[in-house]
Amino acid sequence: MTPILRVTDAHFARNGVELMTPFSVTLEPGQHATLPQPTETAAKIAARIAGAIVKPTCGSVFIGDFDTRLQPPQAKRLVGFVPADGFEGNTRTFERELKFRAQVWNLDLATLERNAAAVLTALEDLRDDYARSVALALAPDIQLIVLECPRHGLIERIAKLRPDAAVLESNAANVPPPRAPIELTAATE
Amino acid sequence: MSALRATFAIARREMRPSWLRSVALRVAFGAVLACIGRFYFHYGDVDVMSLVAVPLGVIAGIEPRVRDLTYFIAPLYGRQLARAHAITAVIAALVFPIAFLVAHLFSSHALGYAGYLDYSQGVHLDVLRGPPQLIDWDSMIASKSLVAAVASVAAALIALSATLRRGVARVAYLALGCLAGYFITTFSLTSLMTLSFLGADVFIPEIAGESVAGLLIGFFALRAFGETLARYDPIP
Repeated sequence: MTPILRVTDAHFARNGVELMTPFSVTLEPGQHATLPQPTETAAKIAARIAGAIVKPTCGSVFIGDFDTRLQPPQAKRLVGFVPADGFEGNTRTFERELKFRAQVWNLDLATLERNAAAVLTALEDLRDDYARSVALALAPDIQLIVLECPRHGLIERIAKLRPDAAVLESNAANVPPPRAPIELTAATE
Repeated sequence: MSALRATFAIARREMRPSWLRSVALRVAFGAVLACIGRFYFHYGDVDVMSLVAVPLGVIAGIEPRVRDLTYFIAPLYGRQLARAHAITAVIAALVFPIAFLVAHLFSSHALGYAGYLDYSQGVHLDVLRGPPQLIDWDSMIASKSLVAAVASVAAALIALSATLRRGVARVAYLALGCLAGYFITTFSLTSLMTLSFLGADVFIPEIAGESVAGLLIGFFALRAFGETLARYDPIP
């Protein structure tokens, strides 16, 4: 099977200082992996490199057949990136954000809304901001899900939501699993 | 077509309530400045407008949330993002001089006052002075507003590059935006005064021709911003 993510010896440095531990990873559809990094900043950079948002200083990153240096928009179309901060906003801003993404990704709004609603239903025990963030990432038709410093145990649940997609999470070793328990709050919507 | 749709979607997203409030303030400021000048001095306070338009343009340039991670997640090229942010910045920059001009023309027509200015007043070199040059004040205000608009747009487009930088580099870009804006204003107004002094009437096309230089500065600034955006890595 053709791998959906191929990262080969990716480094990231600023002013000659390595900001993360170099890594290589290959993921095929349906596989998932955890990428440990020494600090939270390093974990975020690693996730953003795998998500085609940040370009590595050296090494190569391919998402599908696309090199993230040369064809970032094509590569990004295959990725659902879940930022660590979650989605700040209420239901109204979430709907507006979905509309915005439908226009920017050039997708059908009704399909996006349907997919997002399915994800929100499946993750209704999560805090609203994070569930919305996951829903936004998983709403388009994607092949790779990248979780930036996610809450503990989330990778398995998200992998179940998109069994055909590869899932990569980056985690910081020195950060206690705060994150740890999934917060069981009642849905407020 | 989809690229255009994406560009306008980003521009619309940037037109958030705080941006709309800032635009409303600019409209109010422009209108008040025009009315104060018009009612107290019988003509618009056009020099203050030219002076203020440039820093307002620079502020318009740093308003877009260029570093928002959502834009870097989106499947777009740097130039598309740059264009979208430029639309927001340029609209905000143009609002003030346009509001000034519209308020001036409106008050002028409402009062039925046709103002003329002897532009050679105060020049004591008899050889150069010649007969008094009477210039239609509305035409002069329109020309100066156009100059201020171009200067403001160029300043905003240069200031966009400051949004991706920190510290001294950021301040340098803001200063560069102001300098370029004032350079365009001075250059255009000097030639405007020279034209008037030599007896030519003030025509918008002449000023528009001179403004091309200012717009070129803005165009190159936007190109540079697009390239910086394409290379920019949003690291935490």
